Amino acid sequence: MLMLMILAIVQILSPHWWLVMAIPFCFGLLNTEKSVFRLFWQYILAVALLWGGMAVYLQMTYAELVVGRIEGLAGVSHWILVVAAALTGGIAAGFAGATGTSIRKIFSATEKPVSVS
Amino acid sequence: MKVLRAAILLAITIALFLGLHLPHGLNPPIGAFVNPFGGFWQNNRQLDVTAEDQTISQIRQTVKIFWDNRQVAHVFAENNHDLYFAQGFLTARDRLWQMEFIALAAGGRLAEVVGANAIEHDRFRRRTGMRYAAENALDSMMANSVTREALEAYASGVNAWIDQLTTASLPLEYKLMGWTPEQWTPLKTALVLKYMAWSLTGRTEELVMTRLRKSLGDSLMNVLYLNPSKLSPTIIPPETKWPFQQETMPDAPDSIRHIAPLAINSLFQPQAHNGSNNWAVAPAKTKSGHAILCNDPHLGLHLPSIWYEIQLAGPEGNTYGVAIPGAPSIIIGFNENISWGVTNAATDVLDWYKIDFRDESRREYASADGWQQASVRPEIIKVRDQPEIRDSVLITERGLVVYGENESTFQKGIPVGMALRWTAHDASNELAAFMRLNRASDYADFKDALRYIACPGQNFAYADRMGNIAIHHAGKFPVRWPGQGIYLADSQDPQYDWDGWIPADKTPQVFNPAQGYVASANQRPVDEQYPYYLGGRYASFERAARIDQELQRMDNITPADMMTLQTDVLNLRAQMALPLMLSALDTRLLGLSEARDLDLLRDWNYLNDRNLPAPTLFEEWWTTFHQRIWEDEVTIENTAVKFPKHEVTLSLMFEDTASVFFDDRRTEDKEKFIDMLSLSFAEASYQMTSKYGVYGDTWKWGQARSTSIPHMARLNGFGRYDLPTDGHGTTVNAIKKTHGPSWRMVVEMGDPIKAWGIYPGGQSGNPGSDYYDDMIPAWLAGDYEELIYLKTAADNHRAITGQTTLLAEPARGVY
Repeated sequence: MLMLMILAIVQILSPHWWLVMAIPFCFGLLNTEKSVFRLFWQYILAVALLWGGMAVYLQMTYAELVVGRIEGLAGVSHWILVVAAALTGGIAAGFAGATGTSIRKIFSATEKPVSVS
Repeated sequence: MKVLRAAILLAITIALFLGLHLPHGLNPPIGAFVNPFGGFWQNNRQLDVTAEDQTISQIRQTVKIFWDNRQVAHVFAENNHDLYFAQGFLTARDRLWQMEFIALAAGGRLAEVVGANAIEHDRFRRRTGMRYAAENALDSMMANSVTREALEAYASGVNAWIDQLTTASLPLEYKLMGWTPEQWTPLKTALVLKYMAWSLTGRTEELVMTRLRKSLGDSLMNVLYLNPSKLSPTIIPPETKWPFQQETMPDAPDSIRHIAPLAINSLFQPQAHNGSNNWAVAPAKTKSGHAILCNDPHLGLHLPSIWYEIQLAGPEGNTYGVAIPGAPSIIIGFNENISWGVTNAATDVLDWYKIDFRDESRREYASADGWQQASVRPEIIKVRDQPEIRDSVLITERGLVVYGENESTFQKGIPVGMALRWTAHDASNELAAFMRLNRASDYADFKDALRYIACPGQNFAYADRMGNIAIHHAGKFPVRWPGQGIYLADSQDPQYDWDGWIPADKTPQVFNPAQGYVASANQRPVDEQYPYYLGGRYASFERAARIDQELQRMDNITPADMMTLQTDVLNLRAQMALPLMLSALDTRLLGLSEARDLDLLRDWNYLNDRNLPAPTLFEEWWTTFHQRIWEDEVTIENTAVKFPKHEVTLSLMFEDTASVFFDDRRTEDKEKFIDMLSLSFAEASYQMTSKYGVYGDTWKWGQARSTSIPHMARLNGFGRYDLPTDGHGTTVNAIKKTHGPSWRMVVEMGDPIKAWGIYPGGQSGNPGSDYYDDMIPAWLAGDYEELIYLKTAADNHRAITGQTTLLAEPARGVY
């Protein structure tokens, strides 16, 4: 999935959190094929996987100590922190993408899906 | 329909974006914080990895940095500018948030980052003149070309680090609290130094003492609070001759106007928290034949750690020791020739004067010469998410008016309607002293450096490679008549003026005394032979007496012996008092558990060992006994305001068991010494169970009185809590609940110099780093790390694990 690959590369180069909304939004605007609903769920899953996966990777490699500090501060376990990262990224991306594609669909109202029979 | 759907989705998306992007009160912006690519996940141990080389435009020549296995940086620079640039750069790498937080707190700017809760804190800092003092100090530091170069280079180093920070590498506390680093300036260094000055000299008891004097009278005040300790050895050996008389000897005036004490609600029980030990032993007493210097400053412990360990080798010297994050140079340490360590002088350098204003406008105040104009210093307190607050400080010739009559105080014990005269308000350049100490090659250089110490005054212990030892009670101390400064003063009475300063060469000091050692533990520096009056709130006798006892006894001293002494936990107070208490206690009516408690105390070796229950029991009994004796004397309007020192109780026990003080004046009975012992023992025995449960592990000293090292901003989970510790405020190893030895150092001045040290924390300020608190286990165990003192950049040592080379830009590096 192109969006996820590009987002992953951009995030590694530039860690700003809002890219997780900006990039799915742009891809949403370009999307003509998928339905809003389908794209919404795809982006949620994809980005939850990206942010959750990165969080799990860091937790298991370098970030054990800092995660422990945040656990103490927030009073939650590290799995909740991983889930919070995954959900935040996923939902933000899902809505941004769905918004992008729903705007696109306003202007592509006359384009009927081409059915190849 | 599609438009409606798009509009709804757009609205949700915008709301989601704003909700995740904006901070929620003091909580961090969620999106940025939980983002694994840039949020807290990135403040991990990868940040500990040291760069191999880096080109830096601001430096002039190559700087080599060697990292040891505790991530202490060993810096080798070719010129002073680059040396202090590197110190700033490295300190920012490890402690940026900490140093900025201290500078903001000192300057009364916390509300800018933590909001309205800190407004009164900020007002207090500004009103006590922290900014005013820092600006005055900055003027002197900038007027001296040596300190100016260091301050500017240090700031430039900090800023070079800030400039290369990224969203991901921003220190965790900034991410959590939702702010970003500001550029570092020399003023911030001045503020950090003033913060230290306030924490070491800002204790103020005049209000409490004035109120007590009113109810007790002068003779009782002398007995309970003011008579010099009979049990404490002075810092300067008593046989020391003073080859001078006080030039302008002010006598205590026959009559002075005493200020009527203020409202009781601002009274408090002052706590003497900060204390320290240092000593030096002469070659005649050591096994190696070299002098040994030791120092352990006791401060309020926190993480990130108070000290930053570093080696600074430049063209004028090679110095190792600990620095304060935010200030260039090393504060406690050694170089190729000398070593030095500090304890707080505790001599009083702060007076309060009652100010009478002419009218509500508070612009003119009464003085001995009639009405005087106060000058007004505007202060603007910025507040996060709220409008700024305009405040002002009134400056009189008696000092700064901290609070008006009707204002409530931020700290208890601060008098209202009074001006604060504090030596730290005057222009001074302590940085010059430390830079000279860093480069000093002999005793003459050391003495010369100390001329720059103004506030906080410190006891500087000294040892050198030639085998000389010395101790100086150094600082800018006002000349006053005996007793001046104990009580609130009258601004209109010229007898309360300060009569100049004790000249630096006449402050208490001794060089190579016959006893073969020098030592200080915040006690009274001199006896009555010393020509000047030094009013001070000196520490109780126990630490000083124990150190003196041990150093006197010991011979063939090794560094290991000195470590044993630094971690000594013999409770001298218990050793003196307990045998008498046990023999005098009426044991006929004791219950079962009381009998068991008595046995615990009988079998005790007087060590405040973490594994013993007896120290907990003794502490409970002694504290109760001490309080029951004095609370009837010192209770004013239902508040016990200030207990006499424990040694007053000790003296009474040994010298006058029939004293009327043992009687509780609030009861009809006439209590005696043994009644007080029985009453307090029964109460203590009962309290032990109610505080610590049935007899068991929870009674052990290390559990009942554990130690916590919290994060500076009190972030839960960022500190270390309930550490089982040995020691007591009065033992040489002076560990308390949140205070204790912030750095322990032992230096043997041989060839090569050998040194050991430890502190309760770690080099890194990053809570996600392995080096954040890695030294705490060794500190707890009383172990030391060998300090890796590299002689040259070519020196190899097995503990060196990495190297970073800072390269000047080629165009500038050529010459």
